[in-house]
Amino acid sequence: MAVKYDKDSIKTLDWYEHIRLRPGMYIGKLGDGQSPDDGIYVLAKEVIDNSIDEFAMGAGKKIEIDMEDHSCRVRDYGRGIPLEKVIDCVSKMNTGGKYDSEAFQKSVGMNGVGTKAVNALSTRFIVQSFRDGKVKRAEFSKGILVKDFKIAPTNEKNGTEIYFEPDNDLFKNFRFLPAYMEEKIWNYAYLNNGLTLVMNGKDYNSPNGLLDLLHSRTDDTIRYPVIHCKGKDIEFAITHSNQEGEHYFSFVNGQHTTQGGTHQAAFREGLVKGVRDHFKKEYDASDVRNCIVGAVSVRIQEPVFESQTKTKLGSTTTAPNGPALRTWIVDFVARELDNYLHKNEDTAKKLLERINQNEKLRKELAGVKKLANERAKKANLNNKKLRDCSVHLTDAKNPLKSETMIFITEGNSASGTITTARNPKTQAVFSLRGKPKNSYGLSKKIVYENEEWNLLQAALNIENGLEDLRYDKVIIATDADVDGMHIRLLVMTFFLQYFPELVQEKHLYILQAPLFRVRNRKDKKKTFYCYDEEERDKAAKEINKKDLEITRFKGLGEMDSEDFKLLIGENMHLETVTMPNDASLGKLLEYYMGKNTQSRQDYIVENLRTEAVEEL
Amino acid sequence: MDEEQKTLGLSNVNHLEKLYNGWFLDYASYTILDRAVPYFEDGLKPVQRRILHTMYEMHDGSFHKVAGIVGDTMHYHPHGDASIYTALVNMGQKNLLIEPQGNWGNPLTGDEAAAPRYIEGKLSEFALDVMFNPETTEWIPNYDGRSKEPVTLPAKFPILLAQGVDGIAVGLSTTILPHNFKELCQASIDYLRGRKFTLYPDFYTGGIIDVSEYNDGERGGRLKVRAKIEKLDNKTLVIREIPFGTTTDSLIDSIVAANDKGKIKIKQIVDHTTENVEIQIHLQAGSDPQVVMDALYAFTDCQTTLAANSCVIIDKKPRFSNTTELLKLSTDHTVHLLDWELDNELKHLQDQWHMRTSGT
Repeated sequence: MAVKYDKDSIKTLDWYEHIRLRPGMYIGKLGDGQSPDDGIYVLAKEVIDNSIDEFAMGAGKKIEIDMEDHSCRVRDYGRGIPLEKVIDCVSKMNTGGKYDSEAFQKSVGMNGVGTKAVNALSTRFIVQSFRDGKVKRAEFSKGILVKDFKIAPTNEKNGTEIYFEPDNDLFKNFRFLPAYMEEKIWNYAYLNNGLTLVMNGKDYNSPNGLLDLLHSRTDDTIRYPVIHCKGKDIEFAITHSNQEGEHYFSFVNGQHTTQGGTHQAAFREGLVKGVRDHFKKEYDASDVRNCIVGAVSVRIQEPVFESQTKTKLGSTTTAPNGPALRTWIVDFVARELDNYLHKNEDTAKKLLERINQNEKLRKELAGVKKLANERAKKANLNNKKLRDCSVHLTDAKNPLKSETMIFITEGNSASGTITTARNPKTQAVFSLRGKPKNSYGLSKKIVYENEEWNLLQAALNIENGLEDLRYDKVIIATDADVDGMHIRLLVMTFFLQYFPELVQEKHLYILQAPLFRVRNRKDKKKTFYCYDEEERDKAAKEINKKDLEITRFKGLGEMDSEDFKLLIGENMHLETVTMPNDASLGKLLEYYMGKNTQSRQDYIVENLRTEAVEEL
Repeated sequence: MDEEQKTLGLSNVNHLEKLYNGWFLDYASYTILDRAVPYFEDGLKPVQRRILHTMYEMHDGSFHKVAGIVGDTMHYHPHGDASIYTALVNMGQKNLLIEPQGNWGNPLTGDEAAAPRYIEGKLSEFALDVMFNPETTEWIPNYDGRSKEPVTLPAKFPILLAQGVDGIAVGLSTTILPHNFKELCQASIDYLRGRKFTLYPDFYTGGIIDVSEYNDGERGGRLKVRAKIEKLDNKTLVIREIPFGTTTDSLIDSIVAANDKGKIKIKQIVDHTTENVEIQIHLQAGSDPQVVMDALYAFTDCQTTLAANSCVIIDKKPRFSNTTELLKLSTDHTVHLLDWELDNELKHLQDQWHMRTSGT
């Protein structure tokens, strides 16, 4: 039967219906608040962003945020939304004061969607605007106006207050963990000197901007005092540490661009140029940048992002038809850095030491690399651990490039099934044989000497940084049993030690395996894999009691490739690995992956998990 | 996740730490509770227990191929066959619970056992006597829920102290040295009679031990072990017993290495080992046998130090114990099992008696 397609088939959704139907388009993933990148935190961020924009325009030096388990309130002391337009501003698409570039010149939220999305995704949403002794209040539920208060007199100071409770139907069993907002709140403080944010009674402010940011991310092992320079619409700070790799925090108009972009690339270029100019020597770029910790923040007009979540900048100019972004940043950074080093000879000396050490290290590695080169050649011909896909992240024009992913699997578990179940265009498989070597505390030589790690590096193509990374997502897909946990630890440690950028820029993920397998023991076709109790109970009803079998799901190797297609298809459950927002990484790795200590032994014995063992 | 997960608190709320913490504890708990550390009740690690249980199920009085035992053990032990084979050979070499047939390797020389398809084994009479009794065994479902396996075997003997054990888990390890069978029996009797007793390790390799720092086998206790070296004549020394933990091969290697480094000077070293150790060391002309002997103790494995670390699982927790406590625990457990057996026997006899009397 042909599907009917006439005038009745064409629908126009109400604005809130569309947001509720496709929340991912507006806020990324949904989640329940157990991960820092879950949607409920994006909601809070959208609301705070508007308050920040008020501050940026010179109105209001304080923003209060009260975050409870299931609600969030944000109050700023800006100018307040014009009272007549309060309702429109939070419930009419494409309404806002930021279209005219004069009023809100350099803000991020320009499309007038932010607060509306929050409104549509909340069961309760209250907006109040205080302006010159008058207040306007309105209440919504799921985007629909439920109560429209008349304009009334008030004693409150000017500003806007928004209160919302996210929709429990969409964010299943969500709970706000204020600690996950902390990093974002701190970033607001670093980027807005003079602004005080008060979250749940605690003050956040930063007199020294990016300088404070770098201090919070490093400990006393940095090689020289942080270099900090500021100009109009641009600010940067750098220092060198002892941690391999490059670590950057980049911002555009107050938005944390975790995946970098054009401004970060220019920043890196400027650093190298500044150092070369100062020391009048053509140092290798990687020697200058290895072990660097840097932050850069720029403000530009109408920034263009490469993704909906605004984590990677794509702009090439500082304003529509304005001067080139790259030259502006490169020139500023190179000039300021050169000047600074002239004024601070001590710092310059220590910086040079680090560069020389990097150079020595690189040359040492070069010896090992030579040996590894042979292997690499072979890997180029055919990386024997890799079953590749046809599209890669480096294929600039391919629309599928951001959907590319590689699964790191256990050879004797799921490699075979994942290979047959995958989409050969975008999904690659790398199989480990047994347990890889613990790389903790070893020199970077191991990346070349150990065949498995060497081939993994070759498969990802990250020897010289992330520019040539071949997959958008690097997914650790091990079993959910104890050995799988161990392999996760080993693989993560490898990346965190030698390629922290990969984690920093959120390319590393864990594939979540289902918790239960519900099946009809006589009919294999009726098998369900469930991620929580609710799904399990629902699936159990589909099968007659006599033949019902519910087991804890143990290993990916238990699945047929048909089932696997579901697991790694559209509804794939991924957990993003996020970098800690302070200098704790070194301690963390040492504690869990380093030598045994008495305190670690006591900790294990006290927290022994008998459940995990019984389920074997 | 309903409950807040406890972490170290290295940083405020740290997503990464949460992941590490969870995986780490899962894996560490598994290596401790299910792999490397023995349970105090029967003194066995899980793989050993599962092998013995399997052999008991197979037992028909005749020898079984080791390959078959390994295969059947897999019903209970969901891991690789190599780990089961190694554990089985290890127990067989101790010649206490398993009666070996064929080349099970030689712990004295370090020669390896033949492939599992060649060698055979069965439970020893002793094992059948003291290790099994379905009526006094607590059972749990095996890993796929298709059959049952014992939580621990009802061992009526301090197997742990008799066999010794070595295990490395994440976060902790255990080393308990073997003891003399008769001395263990005597110590149990002494304990039950309320007399004092002291136990020291005893090795099938022989040798001389210095127990001054042994500290009852507690963690940190140390034991010096020496080879027994005799002077055959002025030009020849003979090693007749070797320190526990070495083999004749490894001992000779260490002597050759010391000779290469110039620490000792010898002409030749010959291995005449049969079922008894005999390593002849021919000295260079003019060297003093006593001096060489001292140098052997100082610079080669003719003297080694063993570290004791008596860790066992008690009540699902690892506990650091000592030899005396382990013997007491085992003896108490044996008494408990014997009581239980007698109770059971009484019930059986009463049942029989009732059957006979009720019919008339």
